[in-house]
Amino acid sequence: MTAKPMREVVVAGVGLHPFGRFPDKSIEEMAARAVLEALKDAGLSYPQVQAAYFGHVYYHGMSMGEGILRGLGLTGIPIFNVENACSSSSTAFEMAFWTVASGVYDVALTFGAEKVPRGPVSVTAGDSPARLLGTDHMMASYALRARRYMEEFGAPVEAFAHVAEKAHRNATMNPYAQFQKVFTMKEILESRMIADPLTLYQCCPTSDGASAAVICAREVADKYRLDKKRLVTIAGMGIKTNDFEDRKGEHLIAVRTAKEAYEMAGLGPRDVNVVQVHDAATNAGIFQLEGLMLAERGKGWVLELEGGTEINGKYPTNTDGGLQAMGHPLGATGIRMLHELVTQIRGEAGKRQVKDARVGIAENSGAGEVCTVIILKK
Amino acid sequence: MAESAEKTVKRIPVVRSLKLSPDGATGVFLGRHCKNCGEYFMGAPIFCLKCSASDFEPVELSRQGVLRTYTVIYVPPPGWLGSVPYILGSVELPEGVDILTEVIDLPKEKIKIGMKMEMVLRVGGKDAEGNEIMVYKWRPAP
Repeated sequence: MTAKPMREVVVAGVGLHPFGRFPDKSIEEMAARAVLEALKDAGLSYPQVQAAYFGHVYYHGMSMGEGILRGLGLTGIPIFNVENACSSSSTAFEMAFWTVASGVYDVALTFGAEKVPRGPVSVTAGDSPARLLGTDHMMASYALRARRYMEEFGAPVEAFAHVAEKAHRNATMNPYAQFQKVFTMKEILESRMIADPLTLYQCCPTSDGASAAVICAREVADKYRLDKKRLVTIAGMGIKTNDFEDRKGEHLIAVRTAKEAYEMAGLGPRDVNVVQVHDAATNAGIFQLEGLMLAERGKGWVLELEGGTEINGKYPTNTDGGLQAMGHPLGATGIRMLHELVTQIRGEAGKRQVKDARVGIAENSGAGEVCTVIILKK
Repeated sequence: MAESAEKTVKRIPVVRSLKLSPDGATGVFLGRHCKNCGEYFMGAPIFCLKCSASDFEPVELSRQGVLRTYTVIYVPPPGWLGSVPYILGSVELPEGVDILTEVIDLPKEKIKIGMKMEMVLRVGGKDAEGNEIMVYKWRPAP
């Protein structure tokens, strides 16, 4: 099903709180900074926001969105708290999009924030049989897919490691990233083994962080005195959960989601200039290139190793450092991806700027499985 | 295996879809076969994951299958009582069901996708009453 928006919707402003470890900062403080940055970027003030959609995963108390935004003023707007695993804030963004596209609101705020506890992220809650079976292991689920892919398509482990190497190189040009230093292939491959073939530096870190985007109907741009040159069009989107066949191939859910987004945008993989994929583990950074149909099934690793995903490559990918180097504050990641696409499409990415970036695509995966794909354009 | 002096130690399966023999030394996977679309499942789904029908027949699933993929875990999840590193293997049964659990009795250097595996039981832990929780594992089939 591809829906048609009733009117055009744009991103007017984006904001981030740096990703990393901030033990002395509350989630309210971090989220508020991202929101205020997005409002300032748009040239709007909080009382102009008509609805808010907040993505998060961990339980930080009831109605966390209300708890965060009350610090900016009690304006009485509807606030929606959205939990959809690692794709929570992109899900929140899609929900906000459709209410603006259908005319319910003219200006909506979407944001995500998280403080993720240290240590491995667990999928199951409490005393699960999975604990005794040894199967409750987020990185194992990626590693199992990696081994299968290597067997089926002959991919070397270096292709996966390259996803991290590239991400870290890109993140040296991004002041918001958790890691801002180069990691060599050797360092990545020889770091501590977590779940074969994934070493520590091929598993994204856990992080604190916040992200925000203000969206609005293009037709109200004059009313709100928005800077039209900096507006970025929301061209297409899709969201899917697993269907029964998805267990046969890790890229299939993304293919189904991307097809919907491309169709809605009237664009195809060849139109894409800048890419964000959910590289929670490095191999996923390759599988999702195939999911977005930027590479044939089984050839994503070739595109990666041949430099196709570099900033000067055919499909510049995770130009801000991706999950590997930006960090992964679960509920904040989806909008963080959009923050980078907006920055690139506006031509404001500084040293990591992709030449002539006009169309950007972001793929955000969540346990469940969930997949969101969002296309932005100039 | 150590016997409790009171002989009150029972063996209980880690999941309800594992049926133990009277002595608890062996077991079978209990599953369901969808009469509408023909798909098999481990456990007792109420509705078919493929076609959403609810007309099932109970079945005992195969105890052997083929290794579809694996990983070797060096950093175990919290609560893991076994040795480290350990192999996790996903085995596809002839019925098309994939079952993920530890692979034992195999040096990690010898593991290969496509190997034939069989299910065996081991004591995975104890519950609050001291009963032995029996956990299914894969090992290379003879």
